[in-house]
Amino acid sequence: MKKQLQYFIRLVNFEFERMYKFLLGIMIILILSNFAGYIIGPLNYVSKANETMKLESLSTTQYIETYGSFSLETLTRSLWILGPIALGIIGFLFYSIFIWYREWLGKNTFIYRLLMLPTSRMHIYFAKLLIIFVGIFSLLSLQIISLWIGSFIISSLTPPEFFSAMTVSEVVRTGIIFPMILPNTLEVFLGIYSLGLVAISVLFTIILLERSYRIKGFPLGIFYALASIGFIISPNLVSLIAKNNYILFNSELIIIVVIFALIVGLVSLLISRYLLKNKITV
Amino acid sequence: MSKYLKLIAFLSFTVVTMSVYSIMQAMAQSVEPLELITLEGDETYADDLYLAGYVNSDVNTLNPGFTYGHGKFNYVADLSFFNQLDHSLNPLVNELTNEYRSFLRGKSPYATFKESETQIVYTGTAADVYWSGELDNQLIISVLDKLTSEETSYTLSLPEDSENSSYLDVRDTYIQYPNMYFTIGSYNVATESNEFNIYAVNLEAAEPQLELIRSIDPQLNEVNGGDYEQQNLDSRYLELTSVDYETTGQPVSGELYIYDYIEDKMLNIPDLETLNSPRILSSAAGLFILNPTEQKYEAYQADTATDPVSLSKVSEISSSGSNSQLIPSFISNGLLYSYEESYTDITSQIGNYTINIQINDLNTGEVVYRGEFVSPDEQNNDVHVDYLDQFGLIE
Repeated sequence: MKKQLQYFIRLVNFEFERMYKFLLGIMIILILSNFAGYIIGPLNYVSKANETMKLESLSTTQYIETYGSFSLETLTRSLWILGPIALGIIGFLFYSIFIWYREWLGKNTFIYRLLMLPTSRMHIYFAKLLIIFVGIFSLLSLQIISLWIGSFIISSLTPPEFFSAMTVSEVVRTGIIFPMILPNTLEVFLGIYSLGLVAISVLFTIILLERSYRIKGFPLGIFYALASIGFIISPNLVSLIAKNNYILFNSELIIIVVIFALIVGLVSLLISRYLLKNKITV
Repeated sequence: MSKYLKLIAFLSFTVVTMSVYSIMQAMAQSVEPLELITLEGDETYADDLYLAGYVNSDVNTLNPGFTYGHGKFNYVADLSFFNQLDHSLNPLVNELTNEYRSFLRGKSPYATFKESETQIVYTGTAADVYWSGELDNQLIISVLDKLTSEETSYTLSLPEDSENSSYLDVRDTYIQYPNMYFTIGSYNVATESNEFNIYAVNLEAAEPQLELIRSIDPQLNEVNGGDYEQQNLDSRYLELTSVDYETTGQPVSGELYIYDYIEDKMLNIPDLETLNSPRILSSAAGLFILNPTEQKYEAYQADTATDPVSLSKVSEISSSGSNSQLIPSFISNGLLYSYEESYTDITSQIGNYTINIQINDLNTGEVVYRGEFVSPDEQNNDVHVDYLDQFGLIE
């Protein structure tokens, strides 16, 4: 057991070493973009405010009543913050696919060496799954730190009369993106990232189906993905079938969706295990 | 160990940051707290109040919901996640969710519920629960016996000629179990106007059926001042008005009429013509008409036993100042309960709007209670109740 754990940790470390440069790249882009926004955002706002107040002969109070004040929340709606988040999401989606396909690149396909290791083949699977989430949460943590530092920067660059102070906790509760990636209730956080875990598991299963059955495997994988999505969202069809939007309480609907998602996750794991054990052979 | 250094560093950074962030989130106030302070009168009057609405504390945040009852504020954001999902500002719906869940299942929480000591009555249309599909003209009534937990449901077809009407809408309900009265609105496509009909049903009849009691004059195209939500299920009186939407492009209210469900008659109140957009309230003590004048209301009691109905002045109800609008809401045990929208001159970015609660002795006009929603933090002038959704008494 101890030896298996050691192998697993080594695999995780190995995958991390391979991901490290990619993750660092996205982190650097995030820092640079966010900090550029923390400096350029307030300066642009003040410049635009002064211009508008001059043009429309407005006082500061009148300008704020008409156009609103400047806060950290204003910046979180800009590309300076949203851009790196989008890049991170797309990047990790791409990396989730690349993390498998890289094993088959080149003449001496590395997958065979991995499969020859004296450890359960599912450790390879879980190491890859874990490292994706280590990367995602590392990025999230950096974003939180960045927002915290940014709140100090913009408060010092924005004149007090134009500035509306908001804590990081308040900022992440507004808008569309932040409540999704940093929900402020534990249940929503666990729910969203559990669904994310299931989504990555399904993606891994599609990849392993393709690698196992090649040309036939890809449409099989797509069919599996569509069936999984259909199964997870099927509780929402209950209201359509019953012609009653209140046949299930909101809490019941969420619980059923989560249970169905966990079932899909479990099925994905079992299929992936079967494929790794029996279909992807050395 | 050195080969794991990078992994350990990243994991430590992630774990520490997320842990500190989670603690900060848990400690952060999700909503600015509120207090209802007594500005005038006896504070014990506030103990029986039930209030629900939304708090505004900052222009950049969503307005969180709150309820007030038994002298305490409760905030929707402080409920558990699953309780928040099923929460309603209507206390009866919350009671049904917690204690009579199977009765509430399949019913719209936004339809009409009435509770008595032994029963809960639900009325709604098929469109209330499934508005994406065809809108069939059926009224659904469910009665829950609280003692036996037995539910009896009735599906009653509205006997309507559907050629000229496209949608039927329950605009008012009066329940005097087992008799129920409905004011059903429909939109006449041919005349492009709202029409109202009064229906009744006796739920203890062998085969309960909706019976058309009266078709309202099409000139009277609005009920209860256009308020879709504040149905007073205990009021035997229906307010009818003719509203002109065409002439000036803005709605202009015409004459006001009052219909009595029990007597099935339009009350003849000649004195109504002299009043300017009065508010109609009723209680166990009878029908009251409140006529707005400058900064106050003149309260009249209608003697519905006479024909024509005579109005006798009872008292005058004053608001607190020139920048406020008093809105009488209901009468109970000789007391008039109102809320007051006030505009004060403060420099807060969220504006200068507050809501106060006022209770008057209807017979004398005397203020027995006036309260204001404020933040416990005296430095914080930016917290106020943005919208009052429910205003009543704890039952």
